[in-house]
Amino acid sequence: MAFNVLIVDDSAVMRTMIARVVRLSGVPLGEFYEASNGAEGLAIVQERWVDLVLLDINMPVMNGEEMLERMRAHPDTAHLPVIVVSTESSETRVHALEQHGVAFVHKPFAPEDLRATILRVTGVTPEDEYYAVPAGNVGDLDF
Amino acid sequence: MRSPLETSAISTFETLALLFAEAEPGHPSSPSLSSSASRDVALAHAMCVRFTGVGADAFDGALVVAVSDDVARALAGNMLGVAPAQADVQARRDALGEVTNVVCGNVLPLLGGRRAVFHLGAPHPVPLAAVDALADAGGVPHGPARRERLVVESGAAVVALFAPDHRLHAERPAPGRCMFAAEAA
Repeated sequence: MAFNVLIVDDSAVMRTMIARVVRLSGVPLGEFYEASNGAEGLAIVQERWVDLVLLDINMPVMNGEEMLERMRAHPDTAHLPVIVVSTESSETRVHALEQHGVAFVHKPFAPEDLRATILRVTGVTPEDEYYAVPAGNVGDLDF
Repeated sequence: MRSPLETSAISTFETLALLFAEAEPGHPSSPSLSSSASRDVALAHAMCVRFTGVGADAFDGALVVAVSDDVARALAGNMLGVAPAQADVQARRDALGEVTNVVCGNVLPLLGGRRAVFHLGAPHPVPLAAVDALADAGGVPHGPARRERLVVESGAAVVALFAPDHRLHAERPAPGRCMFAAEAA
C-alpha cells in the first residue's frame, strides 16, 4: 500500500526536513502534499485522498489545533492518522491534542525519532527489518 | 550547569541542525550583542521571533539568534540539503529562522511553566546593529535580559532572550537548585 502524505507547517524549512525524513523512512509513498497553514491543509484532506498527516501547531491563518478539530468532526477525516510535529509543550494544549488520538513528536527531533513514529503510526515494517526477526529456535530444527 | 536558554539552543543546533555546539568557554557577557564574538568570528545573520503570553502571569518578549556566516551556511546545508557553498542568503535566513523558532518554543515553557501558553510570531531578520536597540521597539523590555554565546562547529552563535527581568533572574545555580531564582515555586 502506498501512503499519500500531507505535511502542514508554516516553515518551508521544516516541510523540507520532514519530507526528507518521510522519503527515507521506508514507508511506501504515493502522493506528497504540502500546506503552509491549517486552512490549506484542511482543503487538501477534503479534496484529496490522504493517508497520513504531519501537522505543526503554531501557524497563521488556521493553527493546527483548529485544523485537527475540524478533521475529527468530519466522518471522512475523523480517523485520519495524524502526527503532530511541534515545539508545543504547554500541558493544556498537549492534553487537548492527545484527546484527538494523535502521535506527538517534539521539535527539535532527531530524524530517527520521527522515522520511528511514522513507522509506528503507519504500521509499516521496512523490508530491511524483516531479516532482523529470528525465524525460530535452533532446537526446533528437525534434520 | 547550563541555563535553560543555553540548553535549548545547544539541543536545537545539535538535534535539528546536526551541528556540534557548546557554550563559549570562559567568555564574559558582552554588553553588546552586535559585537564580534571573542573568537574573532564575525556574526553575519540574525533572526528574531517575538512571542506573546496568554492568560494570568503572561508576558511578552522576543528571542534573537545571531550566527556567523559559516554557521548559517551549515544550517542551510544540513536542514535543506543544499551545498553550504551554494546556499543563498534566503536559504541561510530560512534555516536560521527555523532554529530561532525552535529555540524559542523550547525555552518559553522553562520560563513560564508547563501550563503557560505562548503564541510565537514568524521568524524575521533583524539587522545586527539594531539588535541591541530591539528593546526600544514594540514594547519589549529594555535591554537583552539573557545572552548566551556558543561555539558552533568552527563558527559562533549568540542567543539573546528579551523578557521581563523578574523572569530571567538567572544565575548559574549550584547542583540541585532551581534554574531560575524567581521560579523556585
